[in-house]
Amino acid sequence: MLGYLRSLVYYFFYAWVVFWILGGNWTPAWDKWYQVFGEISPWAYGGTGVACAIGLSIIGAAWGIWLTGASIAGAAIRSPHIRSKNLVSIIFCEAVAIYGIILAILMSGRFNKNTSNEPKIMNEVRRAGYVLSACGWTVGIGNWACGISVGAVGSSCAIADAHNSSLFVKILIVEIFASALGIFAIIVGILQSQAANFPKGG
Amino acid sequence: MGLTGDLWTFNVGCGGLEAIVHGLANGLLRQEDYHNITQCDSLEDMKLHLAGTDYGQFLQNEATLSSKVITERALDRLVNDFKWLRANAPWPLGEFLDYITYEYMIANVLKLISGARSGKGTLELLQKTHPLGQFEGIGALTAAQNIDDLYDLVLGDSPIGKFFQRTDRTDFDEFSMEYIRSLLHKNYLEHFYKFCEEIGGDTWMVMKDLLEFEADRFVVTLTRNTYGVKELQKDERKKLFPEVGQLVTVHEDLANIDDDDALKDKLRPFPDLYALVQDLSMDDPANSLENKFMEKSVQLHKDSLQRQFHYGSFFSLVKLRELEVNNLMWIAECIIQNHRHRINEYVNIFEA
Repeated sequence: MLGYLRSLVYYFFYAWVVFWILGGNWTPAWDKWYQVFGEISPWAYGGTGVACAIGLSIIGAAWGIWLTGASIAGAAIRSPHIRSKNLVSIIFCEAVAIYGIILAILMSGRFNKNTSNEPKIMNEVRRAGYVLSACGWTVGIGNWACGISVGAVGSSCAIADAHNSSLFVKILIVEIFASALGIFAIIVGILQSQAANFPKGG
Repeated sequence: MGLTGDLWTFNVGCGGLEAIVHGLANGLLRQEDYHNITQCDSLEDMKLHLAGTDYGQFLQNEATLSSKVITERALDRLVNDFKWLRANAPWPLGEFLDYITYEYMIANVLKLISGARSGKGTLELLQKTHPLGQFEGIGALTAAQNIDDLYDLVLGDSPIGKFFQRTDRTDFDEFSMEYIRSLLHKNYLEHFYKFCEEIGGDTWMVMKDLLEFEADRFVVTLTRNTYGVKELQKDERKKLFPEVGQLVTVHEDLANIDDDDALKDKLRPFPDLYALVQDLSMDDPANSLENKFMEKSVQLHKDSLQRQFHYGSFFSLVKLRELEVNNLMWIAECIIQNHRHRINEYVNIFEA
């Protein structure tokens, strides 16, 4: 822990030195930072939002499937009766990836071509870009956490089911709560994507 | 997080294997199985009842049944399962499983050394070695001409050479087998403890408790076995205590005591250990304290099997299976010798 703090201090020290050499003062001019971030195209913001939505959701779903699949495969060797029931855990993880795809399709549908240079229109375009980016991160990180959560519970569910069949339904309830997190993420994501209006035009 | 990765990433390397271990632990004999077996009149009945458990048809190729045959086949089942797990284990699980076998290797090597000392036929001793403690080169130990050769072979070729590091060559000749056994066991516990500490994470949390209990049990048993032994100096006695466990702070005092009342006094600040020794008296049957320790360790192993995503379940499975094999041996012996009144003195693993 101390090592991390130390490297962080060193980083900031070198960063300040570099800024001083380049810019002539110790602290970076904050309005210049806005110009850097502001120059990034809103289409890029929107595009990476879509990428996060689908990419991080898939990472979460894959993580969950590997966590629970390894345990089901091992526990089913001695207790083959758990095979069919525990596929439900895998299906819950898969559902997380499906949420990601739904949102990615919804978000991609919001893009509209617009090349005008009017400041008013450009502001609208920027606004839509930022909202789509936020939407993508919401859905992505939310589904990532949901996928891992469902996977970890699914793994324990398989092992408990192998031990005592009556435990399966009880632990499944925990898993249902875990997968509800993904639903929260896409509800917020859908609302945000509705707010992303790229104005139509030439 | 530790090397093994805890909750998030443990299943990458060892998820399937750990689930298999939990499945095998579900197959341990339960109370009603033991009840059925103890009601048997003959070993044939026992074989019939065992066929209905996870043991299955493990005795089907045996022409004659004896307690030795039953024990050996049951142990074969444990060894096969263990070897499969070991073959499929990635690092660091592989090394962890090796550490489990080192205990049996030490026992085997000591058996061969005592055979070499007393000049008994070492080839037949080789038949009696514990199968989990076999390693390449164990056959070569029987070919050693004298203690020096044996020492070189053991230090050089075997995986347990590192436990002999702090003993001198002369120790082999001069000191008794018990002393050497204690010294090796102490080194083994300390190495294992340090290895688990390096692994870290949940494995460390679980193995810490298990190994500390093993060390304390070793210290208390050693102290009781060496009351008033004149040849063993007090500081040598302390040298045999591993630097592991709750009792580390009182090792100095424990090395100096010579009777049970002083022992109880010294253990008073440690409530769970005190509970095991408080009913002790000098004329107790020899193994009642050992039984209590065994029951406590069974409890700890069952607790470790309740958790997930750590290596302690592998360790606990091996120990509980071995205990089960010993129970089967006890019951078979009681059936053969018709000691019905003592048949229920096996160590219970699961209550109902």
